[in-house]
Amino acid sequence: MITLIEMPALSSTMKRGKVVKWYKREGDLVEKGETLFEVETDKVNVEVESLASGFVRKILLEEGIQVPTNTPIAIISDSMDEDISSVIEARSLVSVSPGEEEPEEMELRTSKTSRVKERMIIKTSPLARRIAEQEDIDIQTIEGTGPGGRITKQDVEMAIAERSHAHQGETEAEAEYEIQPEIEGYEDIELTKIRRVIAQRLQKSKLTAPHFYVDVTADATAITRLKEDFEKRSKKPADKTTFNDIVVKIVSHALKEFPIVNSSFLEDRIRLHGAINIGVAVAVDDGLVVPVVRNADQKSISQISHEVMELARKARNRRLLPDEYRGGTFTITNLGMYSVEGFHAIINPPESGILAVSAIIQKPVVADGKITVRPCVKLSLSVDHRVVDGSVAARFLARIKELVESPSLIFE
Amino acid sequence: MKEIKYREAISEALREEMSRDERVFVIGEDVGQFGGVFQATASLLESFGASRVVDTPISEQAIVGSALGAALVGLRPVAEIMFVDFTSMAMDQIANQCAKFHFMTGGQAIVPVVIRTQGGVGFGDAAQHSQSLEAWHAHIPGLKVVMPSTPFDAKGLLKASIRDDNPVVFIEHKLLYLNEGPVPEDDDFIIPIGKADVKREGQDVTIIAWSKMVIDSLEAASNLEKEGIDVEVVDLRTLKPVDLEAITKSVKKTGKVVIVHEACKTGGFGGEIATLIMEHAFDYLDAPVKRVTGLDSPIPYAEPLYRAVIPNPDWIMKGVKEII
Repeated sequence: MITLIEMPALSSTMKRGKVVKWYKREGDLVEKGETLFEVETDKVNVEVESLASGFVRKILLEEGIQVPTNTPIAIISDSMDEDISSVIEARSLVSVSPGEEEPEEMELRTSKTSRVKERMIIKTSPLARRIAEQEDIDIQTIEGTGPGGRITKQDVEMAIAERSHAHQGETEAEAEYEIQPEIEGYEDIELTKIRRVIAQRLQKSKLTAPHFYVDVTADATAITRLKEDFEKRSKKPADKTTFNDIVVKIVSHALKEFPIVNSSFLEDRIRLHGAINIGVAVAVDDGLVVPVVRNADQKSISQISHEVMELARKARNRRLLPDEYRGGTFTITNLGMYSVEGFHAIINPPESGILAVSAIIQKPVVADGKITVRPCVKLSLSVDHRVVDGSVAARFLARIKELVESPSLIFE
Repeated sequence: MKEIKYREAISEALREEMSRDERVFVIGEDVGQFGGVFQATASLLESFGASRVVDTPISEQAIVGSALGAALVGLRPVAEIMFVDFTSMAMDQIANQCAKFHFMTGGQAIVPVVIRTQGGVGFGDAAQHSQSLEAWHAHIPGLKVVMPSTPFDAKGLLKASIRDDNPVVFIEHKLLYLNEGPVPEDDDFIIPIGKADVKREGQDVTIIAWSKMVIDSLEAASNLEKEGIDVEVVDLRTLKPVDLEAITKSVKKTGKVVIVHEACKTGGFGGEIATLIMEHAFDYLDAPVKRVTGLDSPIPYAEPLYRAVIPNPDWIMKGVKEII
């Protein structure tokens, strides 16, 4: 039996994927369920298991090349001597037939050495391509309106006009960045995919969501004691409950009482989310990712603790599945481990709020008319003013402070 | 400037050059007594006598061979081949002899022969009298190929061809002879060989054509103007040497090109023009180069059929709209 392995769609929104590593070579035996290759998506890498047992007869996609989902990328057969030429032929026949209506056309060719190279064809006139290059416009972002969807000079000129319209202010700033002859020597760092995504998302957030910030300092005595209680009970040191895990629980509890903060602004309406999914920002080598604890309000602290640890581990190894970092409704970011005394975070769109948690620091406080020393933590809430007004943000944060100082109120 | 017919422009050019230079003479079938089947040599016999207006038997090889011999001993013959289809009979003299002599004698001999002929579909002249064979001649190094579309160009270019020291294949079109147009009366009016002419200025798309297809292209351009498409029509006038500068200039201006010729498509000169554009102006192209040409078919005798195999203004308009 011959099985055609295709580029999997790892999430409902995944359109294209890239094999970054093949774990098997042509001629290798692979068991069903065994890792066959690793796919890179927007933010993470995912290991994909083989759907069939048999011999890897042909690898159709080189590492590092992106193709649309469902594109055949390998052929597996029960034995090494099964004839697979008909499969290859049928596939290449289909793939080279021109799709006149499609502006992007994928052509896979089987050459003499049986290696397959992808050639992406975007119908563009040479003139349009040249102008786009001169103007530094990505041809892939332009919609072709010429015959058969070809991108023509007119389309590029439209794109240039739109860009200059949209970025009149920015171009001046860019010019300022670039032309500084007095700065001698420089190094340009090419954007990684994750850095590009971070840049796009956060810039969009700051440009579209009017942020405002509310700060409180909470007495962390009770929560510190709670953390110690958990630590005493945990059997394995690896299952360590962190202060942040407790904050996840507290915030998800508070969100139940303030559904307006657990929402998204959708231009013509505000969507209140039915689930409370808490994103937890995790620093990784070249950026950060935000894995999501789903229905955190319904989970125990130890469950949350376990899940966050697992998600963070996957995030650092770039093994998060798209569904493990999508669908958040509120984010918590914590720089406490770096002894940060206070900071304000940028909202993770399309969410409406983010809580920045700083370090627990011993501070003199006035309690019962006396100055005493207490562990304190600064909590800073950033919210989207299109959705959340000042008084709501203040009451929400006050409730979090209350729960941090008296965690037992969760059981009220 | 007076308005005269294309065939009168030809005979004026011949008369003026024969008067100016006694080495110039015409030779061909029916050029004397009959005045040429299209009357392009009418009354030359009366003016210049039988030694300079030579009627020949029906032997194209003899006509061109005699002209070549005369040229090699210092005369400047204008040989007429009644239909371009019959240059096939004289191809050895044209391609192997006329085109090669200057080269093979190390420049010692010159071959100032003009081979006047005419081609194209006319009035039901069928497969052997209707072809457009300019690409054959343009393919031979050593030959110049001239194909004027107006009386003005016909006169100026024929005079230039007669004064040129190289063999020139001068191809007229049977449907142009009665067209009228302004022509200067100046004896020294010359249009240099190798210079194209922008017959109509436009911004949106360039039509490159020659001979009668220039006329059809201009008609298509006026119709397209009503639809808001601004067409430039470049008349090559000379295919060899071709005016690359004029071609690239217009391509850079409009970015879109339709090449129109009556000759059938495969191996037609349009392919050469398209490739030159690719080589010299690729980065200026905003659409693939389009060819509107005759079909790869012998020309039929019946009118509805021959009309179905050669371009007309409608075909040209359609071709333009396909790339605009």
